[in-house]
Amino acid sequence: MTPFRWKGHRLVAELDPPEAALLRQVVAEIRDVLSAERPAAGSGGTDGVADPVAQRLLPDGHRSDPDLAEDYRSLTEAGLRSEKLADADLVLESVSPDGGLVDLDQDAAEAWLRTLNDVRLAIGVRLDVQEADDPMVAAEETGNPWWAAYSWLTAVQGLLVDVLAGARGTGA
Amino acid sequence: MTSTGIIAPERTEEVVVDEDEETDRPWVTIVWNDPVNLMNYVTYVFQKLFGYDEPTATKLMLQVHHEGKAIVSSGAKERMESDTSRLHAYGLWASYQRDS
Repeated sequence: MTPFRWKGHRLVAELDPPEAALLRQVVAEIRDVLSAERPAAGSGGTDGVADPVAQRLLPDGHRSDPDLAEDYRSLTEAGLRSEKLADADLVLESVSPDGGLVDLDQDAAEAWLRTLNDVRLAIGVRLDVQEADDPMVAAEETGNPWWAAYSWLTAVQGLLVDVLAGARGTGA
Repeated sequence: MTSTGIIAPERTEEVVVDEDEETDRPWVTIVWNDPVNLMNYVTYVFQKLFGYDEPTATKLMLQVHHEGKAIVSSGAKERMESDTSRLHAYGLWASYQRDS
């Protein structure tokens, strides 16, 4: 990969085919999670408990009052789902399955940031990532390819934040 | 956030007591520590959503990181709901509650 850099007012990067495939796969997966209906209260004995990835992507707005948490969901959840799905679609549209150039305006770069964060949250839930974990070390020790994927996505997101934050600092 | 515990000097004028203290207690939006969210990303989001300058945003991010949580905004309930949902859009682990 050639990391994101400014080219005029656009952000460009280049992805190798396996990187593009990985990114498209993980984004498609959170797309599925975000499209799935939240289980209705009492259904299947789960009492409305969502899959842990959905619960992390769409967390409770209030921690101790279930009524307020439910009010918050009814007010915001549909909007959050559609925003996150729109972000995911935008990322998928910007990455060719064969890799190559990614060329984003600033709004698209923001969508990338949010989606990269969501896919990392999703993988983080599945791997049970802890603060002390070093993804590179975990990738080597466990041989689990998701640690390597997580590590790569972390690097891509971190560099994209730096490029965007740098632009804000200089007013570019 | 710690209180300095300073006691106001005795007042001579009559203090107006709010009739409904409950409605006047402000609400706050809290961001909780999360092992996945990147420090530079959290700082960036605080600047972007709340207009904090970089030192303020960094200070709040470090408070989340070291103390487990930080209050990032306060005000009316509806605004805190909105702030929480804007933070959720960016994947930060946020919630709102009455200030304690």
